Amino acid sequence: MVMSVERWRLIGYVIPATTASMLAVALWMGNAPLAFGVLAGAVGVTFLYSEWVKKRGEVLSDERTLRIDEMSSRRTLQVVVLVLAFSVVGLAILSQSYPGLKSAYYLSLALMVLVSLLKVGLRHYYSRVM
Amino acid sequence: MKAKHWFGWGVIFAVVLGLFIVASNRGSVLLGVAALFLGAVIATAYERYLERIGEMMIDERIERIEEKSHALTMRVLGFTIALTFVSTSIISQGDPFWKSASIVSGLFMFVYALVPLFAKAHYEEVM
Repeated sequence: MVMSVERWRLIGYVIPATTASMLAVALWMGNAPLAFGVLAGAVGVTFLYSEWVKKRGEVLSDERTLRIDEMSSRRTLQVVVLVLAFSVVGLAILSQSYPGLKSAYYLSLALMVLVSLLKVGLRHYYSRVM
Repeated sequence: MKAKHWFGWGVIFAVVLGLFIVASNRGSVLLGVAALFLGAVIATAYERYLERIGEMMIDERIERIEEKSHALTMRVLGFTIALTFVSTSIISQGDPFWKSASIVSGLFMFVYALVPLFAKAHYEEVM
């Protein structure tokens, strides 16, 4: 039993490690279809893995684990938004002197807008359905 | 929430935006970051004040809505960051303009991957 528990845990670590290695190879080759294929494959394999683990009864998703997931998502989002906000401000000013940072500024700004729209949109959606 | 309290939010936003424009014109990163920091502190204090006077009611349902929307936002954001990292990394090999975007999206990915590990470990311990 201990061995089987170790095995399913190990697969959980193997998936991201393999994805990262294959992604690194795809990026090094400059092969866009392969890189996006690896990403899509990783999403699919992760989904299949979680279904497989659930079927085996290894992961019991209860109210506590759900709450932990949601609270850690909240904290992560707060940190990511903070990092994004400081990046946008810093890059907006620095990109005036260093034009090479222009693309990083556009990217940070686009992500900031996306997060804001998602937060407002999803809050509105859940207020209606809950 | 009453109109005057919405006006309060508007004033905070205008002050932070004004400070940011000044910082941008002067080319001072320090002033820009300080403006943002000040804005965050004032906004938090104002939110606490509104909660205290009963203008903002935070109940169990609102908390659940917030947490559910955060969880979904996180998933979409994670996938978007991964996609931007891959695309900018490949595009930057032919066009150096996207080099900084590729590096920054890599850093975002790093932050995105690392923070949940610590957050989960913390909440598993305290809950």
